[in-house]
Amino acid sequence: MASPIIEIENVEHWFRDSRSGSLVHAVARADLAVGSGEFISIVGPSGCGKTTLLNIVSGLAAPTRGSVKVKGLPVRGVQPDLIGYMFARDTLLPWRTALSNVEFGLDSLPRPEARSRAERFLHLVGLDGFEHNYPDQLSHGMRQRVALARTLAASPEILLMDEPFGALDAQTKLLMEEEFLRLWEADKKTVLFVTHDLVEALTLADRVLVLSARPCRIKAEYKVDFPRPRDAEALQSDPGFAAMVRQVWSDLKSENIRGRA
Amino acid sequence: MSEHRVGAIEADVPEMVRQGGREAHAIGYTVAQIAVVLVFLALWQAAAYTGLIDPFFISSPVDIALKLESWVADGSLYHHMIVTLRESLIGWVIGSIAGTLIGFVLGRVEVIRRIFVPLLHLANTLPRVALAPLFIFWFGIGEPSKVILVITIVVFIMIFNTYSGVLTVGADHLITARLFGKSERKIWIEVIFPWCVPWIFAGLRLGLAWSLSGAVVGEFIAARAGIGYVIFNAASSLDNAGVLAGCVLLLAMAMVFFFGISAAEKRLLKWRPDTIG
Repeated sequence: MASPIIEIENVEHWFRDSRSGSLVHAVARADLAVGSGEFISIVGPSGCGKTTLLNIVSGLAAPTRGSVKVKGLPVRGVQPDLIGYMFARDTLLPWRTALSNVEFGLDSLPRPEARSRAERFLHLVGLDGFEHNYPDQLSHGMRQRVALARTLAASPEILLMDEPFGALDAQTKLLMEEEFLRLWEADKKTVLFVTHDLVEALTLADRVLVLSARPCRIKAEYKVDFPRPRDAEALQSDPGFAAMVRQVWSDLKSENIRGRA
Repeated sequence: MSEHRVGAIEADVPEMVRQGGREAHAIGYTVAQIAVVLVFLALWQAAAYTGLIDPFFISSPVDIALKLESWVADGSLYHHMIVTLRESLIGWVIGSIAGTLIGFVLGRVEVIRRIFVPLLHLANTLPRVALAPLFIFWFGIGEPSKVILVITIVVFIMIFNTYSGVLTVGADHLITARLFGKSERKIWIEVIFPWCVPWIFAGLRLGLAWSLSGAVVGEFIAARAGIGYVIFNAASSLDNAGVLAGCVLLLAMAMVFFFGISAAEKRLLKWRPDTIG
């Protein structure tokens, strides 16, 4: 690998649970080097610290121990020009139209340019004609498209995605995965994609990391070399793909059981 | 990202597209509401006319209408309405602006919030009308004493509403703003303030209703003009039609206030599906 764009070294993390006040050991140890343009999916049992890991890379949280570097420099706080972060939760501003929500991340551009860029990205996610709708007038799937457009329009080099399609129904999810694959394959940004859906993880990624139950460490790593461009639907009915899902699942299952015990 | 056009979406058509039938229903309900009021007035009039109830105590719609007509004829209606309108609106505007500003300061500065919020809650438990005699002693029998009374009522409503709004700003919205590198100033303008608008409107609405009662109670105690003054005088001469005619005027003013603020709210909060209008 050429020099990695994200380097996570010896990271360990504790945080104080705001409700119970007790200390939570979220990440036992994480080491990871991510190459530029690499698509990495992260799977693991619920509550294992996947989100914590993304928060640390994003600069929203500082690790208790260890170091995180992005493009060779230690992370200190958020880096809006470099990193885009998209959540499963709906984070659109309800008082702004779809278009205006996409413009939210485009402060650095002059207004007319921000407008045309926002229009273009809404077009790319298939929302022509919905530019002037408020989030409340859009379906859940459409709102996540707006959020995706908002994240991509700001043209970050690195995308952190925390179960971005997790709250969608199965059909909408498949559609979004296909769209996202196509958009991604056009310019190959670096992606860390957290999901609890193995099929999704393997469909999208170059590499899948399996995390252990909390406190998490990286338990296993799978290279996914199905050829690109990928067709999500065709891939998911491929026998080789099914075998790989089973293999990763056997790893994850033991962690799920451990995590619940 | 390049110009990859993504497939059309049939799966998720928004629900609001089919709302056409609502308008027709709304008109039907308005007609029904007017009918209810008319039936009520007719029954009242009939009961008074047949002697079922004693018009001396309860008056009747016709008596009230005649009273209003005489006030229009001698010009007193306009004179007294303007006074009450002025007192309540000036008090409401000043109280609302001051309350909103104080609310934002309390929401923003934790030290000030920790010191003052408990004290403000304590102060707010005191019924302000109890202070009305004092205000009249200090600011005279004219309009300023009523304006002050209204301000002391409205300002608390706005303080609590605004700062509750600031404190409940969605954490996800704040995180998103941070992730996009927004400055503190931009976060206030683009996230916190728009978030608080519904809270502020709720306060404005409540404050408007209270401003009217503040002005009227002030006029009860000591005044030379105003609807409260008219009602008080009518009551002292056992003129119940006069009392109720005054109430009709207050109702009319409250309705105008209500429609005005609903119209403003509808314009500013068109992103909210539940905007009452």
